[in-house]
Amino acid sequence: MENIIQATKLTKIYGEKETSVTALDNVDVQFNENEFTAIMGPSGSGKSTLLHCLAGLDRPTSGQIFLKDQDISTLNDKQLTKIRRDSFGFVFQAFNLIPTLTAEENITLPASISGKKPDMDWIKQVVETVDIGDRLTHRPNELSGGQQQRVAAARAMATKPEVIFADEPSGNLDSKSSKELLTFMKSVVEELNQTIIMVTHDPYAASYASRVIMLKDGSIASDLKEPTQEEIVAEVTALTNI
Amino acid sequence: MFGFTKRPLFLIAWKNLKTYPVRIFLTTSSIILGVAVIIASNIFSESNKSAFDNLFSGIYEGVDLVVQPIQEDFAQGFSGDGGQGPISFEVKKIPDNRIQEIVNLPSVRAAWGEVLGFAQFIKIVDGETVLISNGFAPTFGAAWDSNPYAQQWSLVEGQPPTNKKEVVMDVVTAENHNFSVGDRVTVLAGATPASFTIVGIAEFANVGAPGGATFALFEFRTAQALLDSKGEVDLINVVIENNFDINDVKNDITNLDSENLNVINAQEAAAEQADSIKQGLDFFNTILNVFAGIAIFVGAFIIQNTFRILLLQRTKELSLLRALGTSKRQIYRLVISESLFMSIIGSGLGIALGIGLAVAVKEGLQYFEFGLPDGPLVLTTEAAITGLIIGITVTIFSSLLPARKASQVSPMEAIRDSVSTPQRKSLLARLLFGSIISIVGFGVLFGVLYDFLDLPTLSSLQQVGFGAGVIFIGISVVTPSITKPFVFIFDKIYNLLFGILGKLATENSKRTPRRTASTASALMIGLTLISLANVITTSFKAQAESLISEVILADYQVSAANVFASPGIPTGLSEELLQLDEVTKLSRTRATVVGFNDRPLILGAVDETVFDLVKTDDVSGDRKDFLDENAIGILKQTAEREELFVGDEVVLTIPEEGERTFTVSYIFDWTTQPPAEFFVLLENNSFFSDESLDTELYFNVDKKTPELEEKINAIVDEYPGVEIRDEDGLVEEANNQIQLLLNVIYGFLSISIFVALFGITNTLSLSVFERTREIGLMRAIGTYRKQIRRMIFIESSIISIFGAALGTSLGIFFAWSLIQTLADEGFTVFAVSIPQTALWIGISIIAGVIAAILPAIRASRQNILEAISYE
Ligand SMILES: Nc1ncnc2c1ncn2[C@@H]1O[C@H](COP(=O)(O)OP(=O)(O)OP(=O)(O)O)[C@@H](O)[C@H]1O
Ligand SMILES: [Mg+2]
Repeated sequence: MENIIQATKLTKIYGEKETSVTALDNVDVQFNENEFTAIMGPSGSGKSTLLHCLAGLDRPTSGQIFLKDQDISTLNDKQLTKIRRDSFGFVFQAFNLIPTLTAEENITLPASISGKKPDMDWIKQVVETVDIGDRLTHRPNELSGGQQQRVAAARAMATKPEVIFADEPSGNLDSKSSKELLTFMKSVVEELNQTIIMVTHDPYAASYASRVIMLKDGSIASDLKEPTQEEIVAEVTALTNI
Repeated sequence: MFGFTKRPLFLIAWKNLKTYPVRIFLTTSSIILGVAVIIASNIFSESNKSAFDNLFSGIYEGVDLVVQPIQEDFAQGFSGDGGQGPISFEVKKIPDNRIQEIVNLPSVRAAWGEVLGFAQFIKIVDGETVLISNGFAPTFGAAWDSNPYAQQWSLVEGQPPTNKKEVVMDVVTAENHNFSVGDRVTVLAGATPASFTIVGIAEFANVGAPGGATFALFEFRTAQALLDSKGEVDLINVVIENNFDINDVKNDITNLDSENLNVINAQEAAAEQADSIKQGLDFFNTILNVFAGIAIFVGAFIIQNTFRILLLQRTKELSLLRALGTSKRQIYRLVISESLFMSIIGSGLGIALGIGLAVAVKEGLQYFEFGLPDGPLVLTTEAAITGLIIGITVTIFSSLLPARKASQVSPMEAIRDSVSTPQRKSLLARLLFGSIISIVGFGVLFGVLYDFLDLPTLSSLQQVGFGAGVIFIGISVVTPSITKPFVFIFDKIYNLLFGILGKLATENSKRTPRRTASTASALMIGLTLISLANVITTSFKAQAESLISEVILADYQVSAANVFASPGIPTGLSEELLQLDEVTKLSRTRATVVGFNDRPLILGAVDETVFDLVKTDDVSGDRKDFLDENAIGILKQTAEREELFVGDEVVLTIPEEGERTFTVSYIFDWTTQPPAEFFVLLENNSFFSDESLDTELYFNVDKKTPELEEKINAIVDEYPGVEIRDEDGLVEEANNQIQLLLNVIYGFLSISIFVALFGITNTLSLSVFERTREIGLMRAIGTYRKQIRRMIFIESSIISIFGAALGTSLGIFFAWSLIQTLADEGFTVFAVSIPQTALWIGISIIAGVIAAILPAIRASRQNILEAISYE
């Protein structure tokens, strides 16, 4: 498997001097193409910070981030925006959709703002996989939370990005909707050859991933390959008890 | 320090304001502007009034009594406003030997005569003669008072004039036109210009030059000769001996020649003259106040809107107060106290800004040499209090509704998480209510136009105005409910033009139709008035154009360049023109003031040819009979007013001639602006033939060629102060005058657009604030900052186009109604200037974009992480 995105000596410090918080402490990590990776860890361990830095939403204090061979940590806002638009997809915990646009318009939004014609064949395929074909003309407030997250996932994939970033995508969903979404995300990686990096603190959600990275106090504590849910729970318990 | 502690809500209100200065600024911006305009206009007129007071008391500085000639009864108080052209007003003067008689009286310490008339400086610039004058201000020639008691003029530089080749120039003219002592200058006084040496520069009663007038001061005898006063003076100033009673001296002087002399108290005269000018200024002040009113009216819209917006942003805070047990009433009072504080601050700032504005306007007018007397700016306490009261009342009234709404916030709101979105109440009720009002308005208005409704006590014009007002209110009520359908039109176009950004912008304007509409309404007011003014003036222009080509049959018209300043057209010109073979027909017009039924009236004298050169319509009588001796022609309106008919006899008091009887032989309609009301044939009336000046000349040529034109121009150029125009020139002149007026109106109305700008900024700021998350999300998934900004600009353009479109349509419609109503008075042309309309819509859109700059920048700088983080 190819290495698609990689962080070296990634450090993020919030605040100044005495009040400063080191959210990420010299993190070295790489993510593989066509893999579903979960990032876990206790609250405040730096999961979101890592994801934001990797996705070009936040700037690291020091260290580098490579998307394939390109160092994206030195890019200016405009260049970063272009990378987010063309190479990344996003699913957040909530407020994923523009309320005034229909589901379909939300899905094609990244393509629309880049001024390109969306690849309709691909989108059709994605929409079928997410199973929201009958809801496309509805606005977000007419969709359930689960449907909204699936529309967000469909949008994240619509431009065939290199990496999809998801921060607690199932955090607000009930177990049924959450299962549907995770199943879909897994199938996206396996069947549509996408790459997903997902932050979660739910071991059940993490069990859908093929790799789980554990963070603690801004450093990587462990890196599990193909863990079962039991293994994840054990690791989380171990981390929280230290 | 305020001792409000017993009133916690007052304290909260005050603290709130201290913490959010931007909030104060946003809310009060419109009130600041409105109050500023009121204050500025007031300062401006008050200052002018006091300047005129100073000026007139300055004129009579050190003078106790003024001796005037008694004018013929009918000429008393005649203002000289008799239509076109200068009127040779036969004023009586005082023989100058009277001065010595007055000085010889034991009670008189000093007396000196004044000579005043028209004289104009002429400057040669690049070989072209330029007549010097300040706008419409008159150009005077006067005698230099060498009497040691005379204090009106004082030399700033140089010497008094001592012979007929010397002149003293007023300091303002000297400074503006770069003249200095020793220069030679040409002065036009009487019929022929002559060259003089400037021997001195003088200042008038410490104000430079009075009222923007220019002054050429000559040695006494020279002034008498030049200003048509040989052996005479216009008035005599008198200083009395200390130990005499002023009334006794008055009698002493009057007794010298009680038939012809009128002696008045100098200070009374000053007050009287100042008063009559001040009345004229009051009119100007009224106009300024109307514009201030418009600004305040637009301001009220915006204050209300801004209040609603700000309170919406504070929903959580207010509902927390509610949850803590604050009653609805208390919330209401909290908001009202906040608005009270804001209004006081806003009005205070408005007064300060108004002072600044007045200074700016004054400097501006000075820069354009617009002659108003100089003097300190005066802010009266009344004006300041009025500004304060208006500012406070309008602000508080505008905050009543939003405050009520805010007080109804549910305590639950604090616990809910999202930024509250306004509830979608049905706009149907509004649509119905507004439509009913509009229909009533249309009924009232069309009732006049199609003769089916005539409201008692209102003239048709008033009824149309009333109807228009009602329609305007109706439309304002309706706008929120027509926002969506209106924006719907944009959907497709904007989607095509701007893609997804266009779509997002249109959707956003539809999301809060009420807010979009009230923001647009503020702009609508200004645009309604602007397009109303625009269409009316365009129509008038078109009307004037068709009228001029219809009624001026002559190829050329000659008149005085500045009717207020120039004495008229020397008769030599008509003689020279007649000598040209190419001139086929020429008519002269002269005018003088005569008495008729003890009232002043203008009597014109014309050549027979005038009827071929100016369009006149026969009403009754015969043009041929007009040629008879003792025949008089009368204007249709005058004949109707005076109930005169063909065959009637009229007795006119003619200056220096006495009474003469004429027979009405011809009643006609002079289709342009008539030069007089009564007309006689020039050659039949010797008292006119002696006259040395013509008012107007009309003439035809056999064929218009550039060579001939050059030849004619060469002749006319020898007569400074005289202007020649052909039909195009007349049309152009009429248009220029109308355009000038329109520009002034535009200038004032743009204030209302400026006020509306603040409303757009407020609305967009809120819109951006409400969409923090949305915008952050868009940025996260790859929207450029530039695109975010563009989206806000597009949104703003929707608001401004909405306002401009509504305003422009209403304005055009109102103008159309007005012109229809005036059809009976001869206004028949309805014309819309497409370029000007487009220009103003363009200006509105640009204004909207400017208003969007700050919100757009704010939106594009939004922190992405803050927007997407979920708490
Ligand atoms: N904007 C910020 N300013 C200051 N400190 C911050 C900021 N954002 C995060 N932090 C701090 O950095 C650390 C890492 O935060 P981060 O949000 O990455 O944690 P997390 O692992 O995502 O936690 P959670 O599971 O609660 O979402 C925390 O201690 C947090 O308080
Ligand atoms: Mg987090």
